[in-house]
Amino acid sequence: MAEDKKSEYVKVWERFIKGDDDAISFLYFELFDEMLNFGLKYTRDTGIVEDCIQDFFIELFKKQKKLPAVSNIRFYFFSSIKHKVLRELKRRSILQQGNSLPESDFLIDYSFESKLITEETKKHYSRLLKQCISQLNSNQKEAIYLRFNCGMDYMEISTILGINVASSRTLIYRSVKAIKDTIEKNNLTGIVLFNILKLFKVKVDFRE
Amino acid sequence: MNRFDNYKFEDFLLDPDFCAWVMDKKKHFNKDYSAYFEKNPSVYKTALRAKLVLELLKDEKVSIPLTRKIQIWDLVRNAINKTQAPKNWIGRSFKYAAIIVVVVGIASLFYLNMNRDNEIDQYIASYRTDYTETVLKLDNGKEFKIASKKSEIVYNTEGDKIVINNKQYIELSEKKKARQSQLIVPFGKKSKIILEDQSEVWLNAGSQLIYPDIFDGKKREVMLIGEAFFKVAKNKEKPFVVKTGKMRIEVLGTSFNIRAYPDENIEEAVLVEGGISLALKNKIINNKVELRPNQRFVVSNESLDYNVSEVNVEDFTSWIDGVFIFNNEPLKNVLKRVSRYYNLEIIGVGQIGPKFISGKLDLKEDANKVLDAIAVISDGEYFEENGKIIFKLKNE
Repeated sequence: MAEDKKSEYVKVWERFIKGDDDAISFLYFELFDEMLNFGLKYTRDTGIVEDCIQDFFIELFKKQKKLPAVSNIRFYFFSSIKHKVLRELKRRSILQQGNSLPESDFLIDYSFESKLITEETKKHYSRLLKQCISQLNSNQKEAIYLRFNCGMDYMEISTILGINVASSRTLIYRSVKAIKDTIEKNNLTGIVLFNILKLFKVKVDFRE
Repeated sequence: MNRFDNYKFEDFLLDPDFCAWVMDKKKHFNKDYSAYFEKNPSVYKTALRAKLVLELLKDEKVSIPLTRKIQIWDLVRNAINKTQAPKNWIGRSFKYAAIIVVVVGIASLFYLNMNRDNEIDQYIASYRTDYTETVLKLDNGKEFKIASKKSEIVYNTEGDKIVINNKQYIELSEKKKARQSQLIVPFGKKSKIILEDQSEVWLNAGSQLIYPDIFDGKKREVMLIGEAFFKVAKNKEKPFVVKTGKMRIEVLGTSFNIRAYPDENIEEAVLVEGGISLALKNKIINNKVELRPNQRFVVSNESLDYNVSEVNVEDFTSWIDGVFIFNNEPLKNVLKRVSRYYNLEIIGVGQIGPKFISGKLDLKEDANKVLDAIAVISDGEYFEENGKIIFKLKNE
């Protein structure tokens, strides 16, 4: 994430903890979509995630003057939402079944198909990726999501996953290697690859 | 020597800068990257594969409508307010306030009705072109400046909350609902506003819209200086009225484009769909003109003569998408529109008056490219002098 945005968030946060109520609404609207999407990786129930976001902000208001200075707002919001969603899921499962939650799975659910991929080659890549990702374990999926969707660094990923930095690095590396192996194992013929390139030269010009 | 020289496919995926560039399409990387890739086609091929994978990895995002976000935010705010003790004295003083309001209300209603039709003239008289930022002026004296080139302002259906550019959130006080708010879009910028009735209005550069935060009267009345495209939400009980310097346009629910810049010698309305009824404001006999889709109404400022013709509506509405189409249009007008759009001072010299041109300009390009295109079409040339653009025809 761009550094200037990061420091803008920090400034807004400081205004909020000094008593400016309106400041926090900026962060709410700015980060809502990302928090929602991230929360939806733990449950498919939008209502639960919305409730957790709502709860989170109510708590922020209640503790407003006692809140600490935070240097990485986005990360702080993400980990709070994850924590809340997991706690809520646990609470519900105890209420419903009287037992604890089964080992949760990270619901990474890339909807490649809906991206209107018409070309055979892109479809081919999509299929490979989908197949590859479905074989990753839950931690790997979450790491891939945080890295490639949310653009987080190893430090941030490790904290959210509750592992150390070196492990998060290994986790990403292994996942990327799995993707690479799948793609190279099923490599396309020269002609098809040539077609991708031709297509990309037109569609995604680096000079755009 | 470049760090990409020996990159393999996976190295690209693990490179945070490269990923950030693909994900966010960071502009400042583009130049360095493209120059390098041009010289190294084999690395380029690998990078393209990595780019494709990264783009596929970018999860489809779930997005919920802004109104829902506002709803949830309201729940947060309500939960907070409940924890504070209610203040009783407000309730008591309200009764007295109500009586005063009624008395004042009757007087001002009378006053307003008399002056309503010419209210726009005051705004036209104070029309300024030296704004540098988009400004949202609320009746309570608050002003919000928006620096972005394009902006979006959204009112919720109760008309008591505003969200600017999907992030800045403004709450209007319940007690004092603003009568006339004003959105001012300077040269070089565009804006879209969704009003309380959820009608959508796209404002072109150098335009102003005067509108109430809530439409509580029998009609939904707004005033326009400049150019705007309206997509009016259907409401048969409450007609939507747009007033300009010369025109008064009444609709129930439809989309149309209006152009009424004080510094141009015509005003026009073009109907895209639905139906509108149009009257000239200052005519003694107030004939109403009904427009059908694909018709254009033009009135001249000097004579108040008007005519209606069939047109291709796309020519008049494409500015919303940053394209400017003109068909046998005076060169002078084309230059004026371009100058507004880019906030440039363009001076046409010599015989450009009688020159008519046709063409299509992509306003997403920078100003120089657009001016180059106009120069080619019109067989003219331009140069810069003291920060102004001087445009003339070649044969002079």
